[in-house]
Amino acid sequence: MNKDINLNPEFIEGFEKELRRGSLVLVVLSMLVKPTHGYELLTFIEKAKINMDTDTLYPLLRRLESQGLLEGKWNVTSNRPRKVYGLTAMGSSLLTAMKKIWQQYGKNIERIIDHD
Amino acid sequence: MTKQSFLNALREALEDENVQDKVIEETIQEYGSMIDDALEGGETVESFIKRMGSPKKVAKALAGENRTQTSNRLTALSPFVATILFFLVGVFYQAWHPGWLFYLLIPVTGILTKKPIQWKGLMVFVILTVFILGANSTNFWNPLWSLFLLLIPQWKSRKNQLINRIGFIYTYLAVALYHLAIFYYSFSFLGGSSELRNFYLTLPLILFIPTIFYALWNGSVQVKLDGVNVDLENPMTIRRFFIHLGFIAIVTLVYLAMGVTWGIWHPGWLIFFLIPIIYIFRANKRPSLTSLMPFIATTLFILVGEYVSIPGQDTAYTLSWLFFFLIPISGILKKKVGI
Repeated sequence: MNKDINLNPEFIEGFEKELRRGSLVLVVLSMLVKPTHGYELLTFIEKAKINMDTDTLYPLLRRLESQGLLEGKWNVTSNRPRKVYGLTAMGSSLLTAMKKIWQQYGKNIERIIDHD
Repeated sequence: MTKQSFLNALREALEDENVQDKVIEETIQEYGSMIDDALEGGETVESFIKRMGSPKKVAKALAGENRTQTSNRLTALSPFVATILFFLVGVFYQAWHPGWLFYLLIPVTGILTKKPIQWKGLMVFVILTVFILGANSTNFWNPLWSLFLLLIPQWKSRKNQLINRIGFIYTYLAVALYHLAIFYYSFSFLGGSSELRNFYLTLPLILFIPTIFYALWNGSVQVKLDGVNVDLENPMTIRRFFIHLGFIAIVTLVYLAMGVTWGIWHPGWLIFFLIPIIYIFRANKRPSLTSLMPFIATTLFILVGEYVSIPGQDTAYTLSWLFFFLIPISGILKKKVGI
């Protein structure tokens, strides 16, 4: 391969963006196996260093809630009321299915890219 | 920015996006709670916004599925009503231009059927209609263009009531005086050579200098340089602001020169499209065709309508309106092929 080729950084950015977009729901559902409130979830995601676009996290939570995959409940027992999100039964089933697809897909991709 | 000013901005952005009231209240409550968490953890509101998105971005993302469904039927019907009216006045009265103004019914219906009604947005269409109708029937494209300056006092991003009141009164007064002055000079009451009268025509523009500063202060004109809003209270951005003001002044002078020299106030005003076009290119060196298409379509519509003759037609406006189809077509192509 010619090492002098100047690779357009947009290709790399575009690839990463597509990956992040594709894995966003899987990441959020996985992190909500244990019920969590919005700000805590944001911190978890940032600590995981997966470079996710967190600025649309709240709209995503609302969408998943309206789709019946998450359940949001106001926790009024703490010092301040906070809305805590957890998986519904449908959310758990989807997470299991998505994990299976992701793992299988990952294995297939690895097999292809490690081939050479 | 404080927690409260962020929540106010968020509420305004959600209302602008016509998000359902219930969703607005829940969102405000939840963001309030999350900001409290952030502040407790030692964060600032600014860093919270960086992580969780600006009010506008959050509102846009939420709006997709949570818009109110008020009178969507009326909005859906408006293109058909506009087309019928456009053809009726075109066929029976040959008023293809300015009959195309009926198409403004589409955005106007959209504005009127959304609660709360965005009066600022509505005012744009009211003034545009008055400008086109008035100028078309009297040929006074100058000074009627100055009616657009009446939009400036509609914006009140800062709450100093005294300055807002002075700005409001001054702008309306300046526009009225400008009209009086131009009509006075146009009818040659002053006498003198035509060159001298032409010079007099440009003098009343001085009236609008305070209006420009008021526009920058109240936020109706926002100049962004290197991602930072020009603020008249920040001396760092003042110099660069004047460079931009210079560009706008040059475009205005070219327009006035064309109008005074060749009398092409219309369609010479199309030159003002250069201002938003330049800013689109500044924001994005490779802008999408969709963002430029409204300007391209309107320019083609006016130029072909004015200067092209079509056999068997009194005016080319009977066909040039078809250029407006370029706007949805470019939108569709963008989705399909990403231009």
